Amino acid sequence: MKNASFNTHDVKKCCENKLNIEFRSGKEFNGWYYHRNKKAARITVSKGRKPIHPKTYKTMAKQLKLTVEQFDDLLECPLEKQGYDKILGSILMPAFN
Amino acid sequence: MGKLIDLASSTSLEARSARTIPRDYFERERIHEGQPTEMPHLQELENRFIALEQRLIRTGMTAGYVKINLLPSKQLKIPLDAIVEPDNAGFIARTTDIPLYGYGDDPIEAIDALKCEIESLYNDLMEDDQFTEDWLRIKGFLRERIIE
Repeated sequence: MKNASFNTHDVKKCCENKLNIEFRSGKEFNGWYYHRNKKAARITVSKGRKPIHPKTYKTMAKQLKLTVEQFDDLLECPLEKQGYDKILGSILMPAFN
Repeated sequence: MGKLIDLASSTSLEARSARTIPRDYFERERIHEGQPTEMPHLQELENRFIALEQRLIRTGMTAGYVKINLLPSKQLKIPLDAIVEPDNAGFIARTTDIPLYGYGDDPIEAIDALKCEIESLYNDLMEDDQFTEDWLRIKGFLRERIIE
């Protein structure tokens, strides 16, 4: 788990740049990921540049339907949008993949 | 996960030992479906949170569960279950049925953040039906529980 390498701002930027998630500003930032034109995953990110503690990091990964290792990859770079779509597709519609 | 503390009970946390969720826990909730939920007194709730916080600090890595009855501007007909756990310096509160969390410096702040999250999600879900099947199920689940 590489939660110590990233803060909440890094997660938000990564979601915006790699997954095209548009965040809404409320008490926290909330954003939906669209998969095949449907809202498929919703992530909550705290405002500011706060450290992300282990359980919060794991919960963020879970919100994107990713394992902690996949979430590490998403933030570190190896996992791109195309790869994320493939993972999400296999979770949501296994028969079509 | 560590032991679960029954925060929903009104008796002293000191008096009872930590216990696990009973097997018929979710069945019990269905029995009460449609009946108004008794709202605990605010002071009583605050006392329970303080007791939980003290116990979490004293016992180290344990978790407590709470029933969420009220949202910032809405009420719940059927309470939502949440787990509160220490997460390094702070606390994380997570709903057991929906992928939502709230983080705070203390359990009360974490639960308050989670309540805002539930309401925010509900508002998102009510906007349209452009969701995957699992979110549409969550939409139905929340619609049954939240009173506008």
